[in-house]
Amino acid sequence: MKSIRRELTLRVVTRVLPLIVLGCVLSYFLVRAVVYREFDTALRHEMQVLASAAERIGDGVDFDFAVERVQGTAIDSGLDYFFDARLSDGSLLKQSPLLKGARLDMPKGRPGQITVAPIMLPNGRQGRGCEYTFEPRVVTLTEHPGPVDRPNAPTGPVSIVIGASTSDLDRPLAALALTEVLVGAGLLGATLLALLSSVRAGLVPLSSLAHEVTDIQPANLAARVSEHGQPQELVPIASRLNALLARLEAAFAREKQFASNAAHELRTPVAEVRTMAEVAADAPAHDMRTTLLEIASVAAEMQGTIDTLLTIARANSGQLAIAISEVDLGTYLRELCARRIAARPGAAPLTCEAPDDLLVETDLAAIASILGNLIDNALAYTPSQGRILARAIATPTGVEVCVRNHVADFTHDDLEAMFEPFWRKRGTFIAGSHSGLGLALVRALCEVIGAQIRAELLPATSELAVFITLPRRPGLPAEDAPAREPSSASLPPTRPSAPAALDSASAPPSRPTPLRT
Amino acid sequence: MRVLVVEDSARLREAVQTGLQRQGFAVDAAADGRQGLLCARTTEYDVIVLDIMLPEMDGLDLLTEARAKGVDAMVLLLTARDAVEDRVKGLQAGADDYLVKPFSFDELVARVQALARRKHGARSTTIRVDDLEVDATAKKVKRGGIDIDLKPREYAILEYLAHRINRPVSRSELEEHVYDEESQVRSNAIDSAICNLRARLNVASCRPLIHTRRGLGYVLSEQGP
Repeated sequence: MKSIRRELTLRVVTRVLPLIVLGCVLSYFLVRAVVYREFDTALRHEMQVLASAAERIGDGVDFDFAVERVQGTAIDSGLDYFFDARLSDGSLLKQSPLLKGARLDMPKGRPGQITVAPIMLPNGRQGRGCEYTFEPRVVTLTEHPGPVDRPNAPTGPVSIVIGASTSDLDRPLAALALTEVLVGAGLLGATLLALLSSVRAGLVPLSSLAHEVTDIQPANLAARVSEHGQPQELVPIASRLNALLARLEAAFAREKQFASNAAHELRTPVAEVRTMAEVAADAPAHDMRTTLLEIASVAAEMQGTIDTLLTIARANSGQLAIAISEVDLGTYLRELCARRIAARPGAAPLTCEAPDDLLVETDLAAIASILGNLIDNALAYTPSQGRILARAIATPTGVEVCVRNHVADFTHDDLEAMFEPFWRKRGTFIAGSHSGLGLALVRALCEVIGAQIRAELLPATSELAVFITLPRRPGLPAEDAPAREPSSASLPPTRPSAPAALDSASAPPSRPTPLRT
Repeated sequence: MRVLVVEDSARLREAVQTGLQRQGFAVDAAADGRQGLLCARTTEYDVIVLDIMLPEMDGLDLLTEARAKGVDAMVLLLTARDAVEDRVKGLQAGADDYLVKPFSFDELVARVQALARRKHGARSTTIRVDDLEVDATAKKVKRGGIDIDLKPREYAILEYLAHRINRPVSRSELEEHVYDEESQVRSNAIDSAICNLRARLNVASCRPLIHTRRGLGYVLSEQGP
């Protein structure tokens, strides 16, 4: 697993390490170059001194120089200093006693110029060599009356080679190199420590955030990550996490509520079955048939509830197949209301306002289920002294259906909750087979057929209004939809209100059955 | 013992009512909260079996209002909600016990019996008066070690008198606790039942235990009237 701390440390180290090494190497060679240049300068000066000691006097050449002169100078290192002066014919003019007649060789430079180059000394050590070929200064016998070193010397230039060991330089340079290695290593170690400390300190907010997130368990989803005091870089993460947690909490709450409601709704019929069976066990045989029929009836209701739940689940997951056909919504709504009025004579008055020719292309079974559930819901929950209005109108974007009914003690919080499965407002529980799934099914089916649903509370009249807006044609923008002539031949067949589940796999495409809870 | 069952599910309501009647309880039933409250306020029940989610009036609202109006019947909440907060809410509203659906009918009967005993201050399931033993769980009666076979109504009267030992019980009180609304009560039904009961308890020349207190009613006591 990747570690930010490790990655960051590794990246910094891999970038800093070459810089430190390069710095040390460059500084070493810079110092070395300076030292060698100074050494070479000293050699050149020495060469100039030696050259000034060579004089041509008459036919001879005198080399007025004593080896002892350089003893103890900057370039003297005891046994490591050599010089060799020769005439143009290669004969020896003068040399260091240590050479014992051997030649001190180095590549010749251009005449008249002092050349410095690294050489191997006769004692086997590394050193610097300096070569100078020049015409010696001419001196008269008057100026130099004494004997000369080489009488009858051949004409031509004199060549002097100086060799000096650099061992006195190499030792401090080696010490310098060692020092630089140690300093570099120390610098690298210090950098590493500082880096680890800085990375650790820099990652503290991230660690705190990780701890906060780790502490959030399904049991305390109300907890939030603190955004205040977070570094600027982590604020968006904390903010997004909190938003995610809020959504998660809401989803968990809905899930919990759904499970609780589902358990509640299924426990009552199970209690009915169990109690009827237990009581019937002690009953006379002729009562048994009645009980068994009752139990079968309860089982059928439970199956209906489960089928509706499955339909909602399929609709929500996009697995519900729909069959699009042309539906005259106005005619269908009027017929539906007429059937409901006839079926429930004691209910609150239901008024239907729907013109002809409200043609939409939609799934008949779905829209039938949507409208049936809305009107059944209104009939069931409207007080007998209230009223219900079902209205369908054409809009520029399609058709809008509105079902309005009087409600008691309804709040704005209830508007959103009323579409949750099994939701029933406390105190408005009604007897009968209502399971609280109708509006949840309505919302799920609206999504499937591309209709928009919204609910409004009209406080002035204590009414609840549910609006369904259907496009003229699914998937087609309403403004591009062509206007169509109404056709009575396209009226959909009105179906009886027998409950049947809309099966995504087996729903007939042309004549689906309305779905109801 | 008279029990009120308030439950909106007709099937469950009728099954519980039938089952409790077979256990010797006088049982009335109500289908919604308002009807249940009306029954609870107008009749003195020993136990009320109350559903929470009811039409017209929520069960908890019914309970709160009934307690406020002085209804002292023992209340067994019968609901599908099993969360701790639901139970606490029910008990805080004045319930005496809580049973979650689905339930065993035997457990329901046992809880109703226990609540009935608590209502009358009895802890033991067997009530002894002299040599008479009334087993409220098995619904059996013995006198002097001899089993006595009683009709359900006679047993119900004897059990109620046993719960009110040494205290006079009026005819109307007996009627209220022993007969439910479905029973056709004749004017002398209690007197007739008491007469039969005395005859059945009169075994092996034992002394009479059910006495008549003029103007007050009947009393079950080992002492004389």
